[in-house]
Amino acid sequence: MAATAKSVSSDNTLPWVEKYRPTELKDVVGNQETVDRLNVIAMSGNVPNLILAGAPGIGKTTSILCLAHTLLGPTYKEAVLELNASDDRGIDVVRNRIKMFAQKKVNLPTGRHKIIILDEADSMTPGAQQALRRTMEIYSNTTRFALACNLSGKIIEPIQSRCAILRYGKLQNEQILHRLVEICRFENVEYTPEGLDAIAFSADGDMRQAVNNLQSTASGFGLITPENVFRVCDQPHPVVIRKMLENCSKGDVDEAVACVTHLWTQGYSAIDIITSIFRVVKVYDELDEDKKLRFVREIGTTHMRIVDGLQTLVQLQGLAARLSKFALPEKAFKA
Amino acid sequence: MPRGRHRIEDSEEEIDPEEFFSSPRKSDSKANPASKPKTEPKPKSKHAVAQKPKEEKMSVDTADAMDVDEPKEIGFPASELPDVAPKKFSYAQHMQHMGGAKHPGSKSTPEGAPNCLADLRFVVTGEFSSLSREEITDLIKVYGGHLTSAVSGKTSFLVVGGDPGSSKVKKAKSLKTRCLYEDDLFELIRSSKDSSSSSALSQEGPHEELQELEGAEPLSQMDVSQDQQEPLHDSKGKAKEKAEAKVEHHATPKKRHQEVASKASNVAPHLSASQPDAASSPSSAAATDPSELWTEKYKPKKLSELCGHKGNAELILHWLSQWATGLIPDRRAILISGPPGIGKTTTAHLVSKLAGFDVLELNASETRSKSTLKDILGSAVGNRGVLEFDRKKIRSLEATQEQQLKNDGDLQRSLTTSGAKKLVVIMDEVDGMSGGDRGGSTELIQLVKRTRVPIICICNDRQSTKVRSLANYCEDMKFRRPTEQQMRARLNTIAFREGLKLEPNAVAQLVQSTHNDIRQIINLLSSYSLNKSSMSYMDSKAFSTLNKKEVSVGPFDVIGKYLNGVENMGMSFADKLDLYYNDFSIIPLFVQENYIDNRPARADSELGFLDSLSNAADLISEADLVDNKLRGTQQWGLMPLHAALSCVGPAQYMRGGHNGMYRFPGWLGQNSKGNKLGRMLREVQSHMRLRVSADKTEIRKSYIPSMVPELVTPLVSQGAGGIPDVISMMDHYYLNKEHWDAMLELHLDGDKLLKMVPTAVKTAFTREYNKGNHPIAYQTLSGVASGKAVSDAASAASLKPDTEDYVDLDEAEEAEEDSATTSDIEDDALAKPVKRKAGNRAGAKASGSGVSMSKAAAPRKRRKP
Repeated sequence: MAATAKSVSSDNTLPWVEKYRPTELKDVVGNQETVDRLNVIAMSGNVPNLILAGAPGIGKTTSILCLAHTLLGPTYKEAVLELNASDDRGIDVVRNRIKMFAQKKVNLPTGRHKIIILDEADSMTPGAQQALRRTMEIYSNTTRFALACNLSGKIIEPIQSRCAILRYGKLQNEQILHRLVEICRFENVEYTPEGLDAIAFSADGDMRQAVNNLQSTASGFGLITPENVFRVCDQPHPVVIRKMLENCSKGDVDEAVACVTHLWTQGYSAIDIITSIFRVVKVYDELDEDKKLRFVREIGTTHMRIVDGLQTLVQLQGLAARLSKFALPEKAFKA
Repeated sequence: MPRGRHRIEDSEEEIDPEEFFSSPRKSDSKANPASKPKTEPKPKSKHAVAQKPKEEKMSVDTADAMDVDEPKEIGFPASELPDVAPKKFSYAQHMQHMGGAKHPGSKSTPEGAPNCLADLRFVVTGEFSSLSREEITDLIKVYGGHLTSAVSGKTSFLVVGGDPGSSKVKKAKSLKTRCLYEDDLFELIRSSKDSSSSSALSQEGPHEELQELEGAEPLSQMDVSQDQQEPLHDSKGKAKEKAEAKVEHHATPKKRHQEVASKASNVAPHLSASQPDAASSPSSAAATDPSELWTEKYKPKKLSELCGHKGNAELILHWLSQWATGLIPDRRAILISGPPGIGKTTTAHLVSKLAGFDVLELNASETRSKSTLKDILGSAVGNRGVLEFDRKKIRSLEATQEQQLKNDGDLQRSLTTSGAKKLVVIMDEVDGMSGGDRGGSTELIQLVKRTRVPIICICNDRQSTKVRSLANYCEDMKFRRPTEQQMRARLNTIAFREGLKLEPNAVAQLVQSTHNDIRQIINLLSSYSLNKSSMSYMDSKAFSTLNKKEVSVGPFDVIGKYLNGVENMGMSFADKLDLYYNDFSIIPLFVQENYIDNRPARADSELGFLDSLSNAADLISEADLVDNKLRGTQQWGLMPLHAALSCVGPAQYMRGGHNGMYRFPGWLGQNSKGNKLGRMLREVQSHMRLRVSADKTEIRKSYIPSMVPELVTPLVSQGAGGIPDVISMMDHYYLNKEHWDAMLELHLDGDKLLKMVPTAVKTAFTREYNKGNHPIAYQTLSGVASGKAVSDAASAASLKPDTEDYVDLDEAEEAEEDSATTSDIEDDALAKPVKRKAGNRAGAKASGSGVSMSKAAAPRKRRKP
């Protein structure tokens, strides 16, 4: 086991996320339509101001970097200013550094522009965004902006009106699996298909998380199996919780309690279990609205107790019992 | 509703479907090209057309009709519609309608020739069986039809579904509008396909022309009199066009474009403002850098290229020309406000350029603090640093300067920086002055007041506090979103020059989905044209939803989503939870404030009204417990639970219609009022406790109700004569004048009592009280006394407008200096803040000067044990 881990890390110390970050647009996985449009932009060379919006880990930053590399090639270092949330991006930086960069003269092939990449733009203050407005317009002859953000609603309206908005959706499990298999091959990692499934499941459409999980499972255990994956991605297993809820809605107390006990004996803390239960109920579609609300209420009561310090198995089992009670006829509880 | 439907169905059988008119459209294009070629079948003309014998069944076989080359008129006159009584709005019915079509997919959606409904105007009413209302409107738009919301003389067809709107039917009857049922509409579309295949050449060309024309001169359609005024041009132009169209059925875009231009200038010379100049601009566009952004490339270069804002632009131009002559107008600045992307900055720049002014632009990308503004603009607006001079000197200086100016009559010479050039200052994004721009907007106001060059300020949010104070010194000018008609011509030009085919209804859709943001539309088109070359209605719909601006939702929108039955039903549990996070501190309050006014939709069926209410109230109270824990112990993990209990849950029980507007949470106001009253009570009690031994509750419950009448009635019954009594009582309890006011406010009937005291007596009372010396319970270093002193200083400062958010220290001092110069104690400025603390009731001696205040403070320091 240790040997495999070593052989993986010996040739390259980069985390896999960086190592396997696509460098060309065609390698970007998923969101075909959006990536196609970027491809066309790359071909024509005339980049509009862009906003790339979407959940984390689906290739926003990667694709914009690819685009910049394709367009600017060797001049990338001079002609691209990349700022993310780790940099100071207050109003002063926008007024000084960004504006200076926009004014800077760089020798570029005709039809190419300098690119300012503002990653995580939704964390910029509205004041800083205001300061961007006219800069985007005045220097549009030489400089284009690409903003990546999770929520485009956090970008002020005037900026949105100046940009073409590209949306990224969550990746399909198949798309993630495809890439994972490739990486496994490159890294000589042994895997079972179920193991990769488990990784894709735990990543929930987030490629970066999937790759990270893959790497940590591989370096920890060498073999990708569901058990190993869930041992690494420590999270009460949603499937077990789903099973518990199913039993509850059937009124099967014994089975429901068994599920909770199972999670408990795996060593999860009560607070982890209860938040997972809440999260699963939120998207558990077999329950109708009213039932869901009643479930949430019960879970909430238990959550409050746990928060108060009663982090015991009995509380969780009690929750399972109370949830099951909803499914049973009322008269069963009368003496 | 079922009743209404029945009646319509009955009448459908009665309708005389075999009525034939020769289509006005057809006759226009064939026989009478010189007559009005606006091919809308006008209701008037219908009666003039001879009726054909009833031979063929409608909707059976259109081929026959085609053969005779006299297509039968589809539909029936409005007079055959049954009368529809005005309905009362019913929620249940509304919900039913929201469900969409009754029998979706029961009829096959027709396929017709592209743009077969062009230049026809439709009004849709009622619900349809196979398609939902939205699908019907989409269908009409796809084939190029115009949709309007109300029946008018221009309406070609009223599309009637089940349960139509009474007013539309009535109007249609009075105007004798043709009506269509769903099937008739389909028939109309299908028949177009046949006809277009048979007579494509003669039909399509002119239709496309007309469509273009409609885009180019939308107003002339609405303005009938205009048509009549210039019938000659009109008919000539059309006739010529027809001829040309026949020759080359797909006219080259360029040609067509020129026609459009010439046409529009013929028909509507006054409209040339919105009409791009086709002849000159393509060359200029070609000359520019191909890699420019479209928004820059197609930036208006002359007044006529602006979309809308015509009147405003002229006003600014006029205002600037006043400056140019050397006069200084009453308002030295203009404040432009309006939503983003409609061309405010563009207009300002363009107009300045046209008026021959140089532009000095300051926008949010520059630091605009007090000092920078002064540095940059101070010299530009013909001003000197203020602090070096005192007021009088400045005034005399200004006077001499003005004198000089009058003598020379030449303003330009005074503009030191810009030399001989005229200068206009554009302050862009004034609402974007933020943290780094301390004192910026106060300074801007000062500059505006003194400026000798025109200043144009631009903002989005006219209501923002920073802008509101500025607006008092500026000419207020609101820019509205340009209408679809105003933008259409411009967009068509751009699309044409970029080789993008743009359907007329696609433009409408884009305008609608971007909320008339022309910059956004141009950006959209630019990115769309990257890989496509034509845009249809459906394309634009799909594309614009993909690119929808996401505007953050305010609490009033969120509350609507929670409590409105229809909207709430459409959302998943997780979505509803997410709504809460828009503003998790205020949205629960909104729900709590408004849920009780809802008429719960579920009250009729499953739960009674009171049950729903009680369920919701239970959840809200439970949520309050959670909230307490959440904030009290910093357990933020409980937030989803709080979301579910405070918002999602109550909304689930109470969703439905809402009586009246959604209210802002009253809790906030009441809470702060409660805090204020509590503070006042504490104050009163702390003074009174030297005489009485009672806690706050007792003061409030026993003392105030009995004392307040004693403190007021002498003033009411004896007038000014009662003042000494009241004052002696106050002195006895160590109460001051403010406590007197506070006690009245704490008393339940305080307002009523206060009204009974005549105003003269009240002022006499205040004067009398301030004159004498009073015992004080204890010495305060802060609190009421110093608060009073500050407010005195503030009232002195209010001679100068000082409404900026950030009143920093040197500003306050400056204000003091100003007031100090008037009272001749400049050298005392430093002593003031000290005295403010020492002089207990600074206002006691009304003189307000620092020196006398310190004197007055001395005798008052008699401290009682």
